[in-house]
Amino acid sequence: MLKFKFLLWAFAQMLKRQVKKNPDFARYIQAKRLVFQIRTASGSGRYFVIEEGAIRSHAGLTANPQFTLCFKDAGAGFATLSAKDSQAAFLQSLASKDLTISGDFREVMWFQGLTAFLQPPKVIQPYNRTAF
Amino acid sequence: MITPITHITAPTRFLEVDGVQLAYRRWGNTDSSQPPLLFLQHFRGGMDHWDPLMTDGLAEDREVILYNGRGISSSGGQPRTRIEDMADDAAAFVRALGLKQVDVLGFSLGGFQALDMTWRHPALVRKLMLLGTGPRGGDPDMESRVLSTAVNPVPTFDDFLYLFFGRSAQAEQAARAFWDRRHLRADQDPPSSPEVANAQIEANMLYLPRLSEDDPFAYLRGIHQPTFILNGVNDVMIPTINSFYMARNLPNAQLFIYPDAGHAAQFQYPQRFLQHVRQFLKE
Repeated sequence: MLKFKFLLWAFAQMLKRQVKKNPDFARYIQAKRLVFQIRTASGSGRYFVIEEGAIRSHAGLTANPQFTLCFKDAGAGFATLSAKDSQAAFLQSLASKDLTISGDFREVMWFQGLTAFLQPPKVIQPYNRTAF
Repeated sequence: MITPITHITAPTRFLEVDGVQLAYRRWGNTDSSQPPLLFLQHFRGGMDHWDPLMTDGLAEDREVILYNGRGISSSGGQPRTRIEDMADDAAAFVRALGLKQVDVLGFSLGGFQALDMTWRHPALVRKLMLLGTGPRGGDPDMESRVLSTAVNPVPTFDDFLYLFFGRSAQAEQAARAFWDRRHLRADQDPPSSPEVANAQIEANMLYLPRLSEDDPFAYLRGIHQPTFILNGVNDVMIPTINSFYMARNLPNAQLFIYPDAGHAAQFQYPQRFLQHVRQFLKE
């Protein structure tokens, strides 16, 4: 449980660091107002507020998030969010129902764009190089 | 003299399926030996998002049926949040029309439905056409700009240009010609609601996990219908490589990749597409 909570806190710090050092990221959130939360089924979690070009986060849950990522338990949450290939882990967790998503999926899609800023640059294998 | 019914004039009709009024338009050559062709549309799209050149061209040799699924545009009911439910709805709609078998053409999210419909209701589908689409568990890597563009409340021409077409001046010209054709019909359906976008994003997300980690496309090998797969060489929404994955696993598939094109290669090269697909349907 502690590792999961720490991971959520660290995630918030990563987002805040991006606001400061990455102008594209700052532009991406500039006009956005979004409240979302990441939690376990048992009620442990953290919520995030994006507003006026800044990101704040708080331990605990909020009453009216625009979307919620809910993990079966802290172990599943930690494993998914800390996986090396985070996109594959995210999809696997959805398939196994270790993760359920509720709320406004348009905002979830926007959030996917946000997390793309945190990914390391993709390594393109020689056979996959294209003109594009 | 009787004026032929076309994409522009075909009346919107309604059919009750499982207590829900589903909107559709049906016209074309009723003397054909070929079964009617059912069209399944892209994310948020409805009957007015098809290209009249494509629908009328194909209607010369068979009947064509455009259809809005549950909750989409002029259809009643709540929008579905799972592709398999959308596919089952399409199958129920075909049966409610009294048809034993159809050909199915699905574009993008409609391609997901067409593939699932063929997989889940094999006796209902004679031939399958998959345009700008992908299999369950395919490569999910869309360009990040898609994430903010595809959900714009009112999609603009520039959104469609980026999402659907190639990058050259010729591609843009083809996009403008498509845009003009698409707006020829005066009594257009209302746009789909924000709830449709929400439901279809959820459905899209739940379509992405692999059915099997070791052999994700094994399920395709049991689909034996002749299949026509088309994509542009650089699809920013559903990566083009997914078309190759489908071609390599669907036992009776043939793959077409059009140059300087993206997600909607059929709208960029409507005449080329018509020739290719007419041959496929009559083979």
